[in-house]
Amino acid sequence: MIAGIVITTIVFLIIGFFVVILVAYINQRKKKHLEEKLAMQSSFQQELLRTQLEIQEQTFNHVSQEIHDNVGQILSLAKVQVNIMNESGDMNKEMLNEVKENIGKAMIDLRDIAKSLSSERIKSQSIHNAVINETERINKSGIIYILVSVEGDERKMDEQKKLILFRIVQECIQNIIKHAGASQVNISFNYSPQALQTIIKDNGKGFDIEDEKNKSTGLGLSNIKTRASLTGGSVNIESIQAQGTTISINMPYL
Amino acid sequence: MPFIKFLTLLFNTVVAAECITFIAAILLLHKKRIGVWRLFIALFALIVLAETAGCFMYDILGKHNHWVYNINMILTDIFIFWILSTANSLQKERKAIYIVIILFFSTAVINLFFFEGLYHYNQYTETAGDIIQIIISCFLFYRLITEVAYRNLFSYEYFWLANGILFSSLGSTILYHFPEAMSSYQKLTHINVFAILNNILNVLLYSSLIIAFICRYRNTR
Repeated sequence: MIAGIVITTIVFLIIGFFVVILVAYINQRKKKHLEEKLAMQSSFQQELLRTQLEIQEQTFNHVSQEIHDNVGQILSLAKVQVNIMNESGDMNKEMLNEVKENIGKAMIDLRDIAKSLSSERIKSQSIHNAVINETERINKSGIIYILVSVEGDERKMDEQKKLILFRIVQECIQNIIKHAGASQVNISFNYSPQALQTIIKDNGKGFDIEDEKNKSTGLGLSNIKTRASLTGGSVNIESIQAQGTTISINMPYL
Repeated sequence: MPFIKFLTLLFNTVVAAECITFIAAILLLHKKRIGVWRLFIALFALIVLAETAGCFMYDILGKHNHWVYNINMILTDIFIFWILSTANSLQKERKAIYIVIILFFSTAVINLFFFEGLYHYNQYTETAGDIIQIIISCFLFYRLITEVAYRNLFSYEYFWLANGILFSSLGSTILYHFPEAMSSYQKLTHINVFAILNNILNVLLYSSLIIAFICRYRNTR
């Protein structure tokens, strides 16, 4: 009888001890899990900041190039024309009109650059409209022809994601212009229920994806992938030499 | 001489543990910022008083002392239920605990006057109180581990409070049900099993409570 009471009491105490140990163990695991989550959030924020700075840097380079190649050239021409008129003392009406046209063209170019840079403008409209505006500007230059198509009903997208997707598309177009030697690009937006699928397809010379991965500097494909993954999206790149490249970006709305 | 006998009888392990906890409560919980935990001072004053009165009545006066312990047990159990309900993690269960307190008090009083009576130790009240304390303590543990935010349990006063109560209640659920068997075993072997187990349980309870008081003192600083 007494042995039974003692054993039962000891068993009960052991059960209590295990309960307390279990609670402490689960709590410790919770701490570890929360610390990991915090570290992941912190690294995500750092990566996001780094990407934003990279995008900013690329945008500055883009602006510099645009101003130098287009606006700068047109204004230089206008200056030469004004100098000619000044030196000859002849106010040639035809030349004056050309100067006026050139200055007008430079103003349009500047406005287009400003439009493509403004993140607020991008955020305030749908992603496909922002890309259509961008491609219209590029199509005007005559370097390449870009066709944009939209499938499905437009869905509201997180502004940060929209901006990052827009910059990815911009970078892809820049890569195609610089390296692909393509004459035509098709960009399609497919608004599916879960995510927005964006496909950028060119008819350029293509490239070896494995070779590109091994290069330290190149097309910035890893940057594109990193940016997409930061926003919960994914990127798939397929390229066939002499046939072209297809980049698929899958990005959730929120 | 009777007074010296009373003092020697009074100072056993349980009373010593209660007195130390009472002193700890006075030292650590006397400030206003401590909040409702200050009531532990009153509780331990009551416990020490009941213990002293119980010893004095039984050992010196030779009278029944069960009614003192019965009343003390009801008040202590109700206080423990209530103090556990003040944990932030049990905010949602507070009303349910209040209902349990009312039910426990009603049945304990009925048992005290109509069933087991004033002059017998109220084992059923003891067991019911222990079971309720085990349930509330375990529920508090459950809430603590399922909370989204992390808190260091070893510096959290309610963890130590629940810890001490859980051990004490688990241990005493059986202990108080077989006084005759223990008494006859003591007569045969001169080994007081009840006292040994009771001492261990009380030391566990009061040491956990002192740690809880220290945590409370530090957390409200």
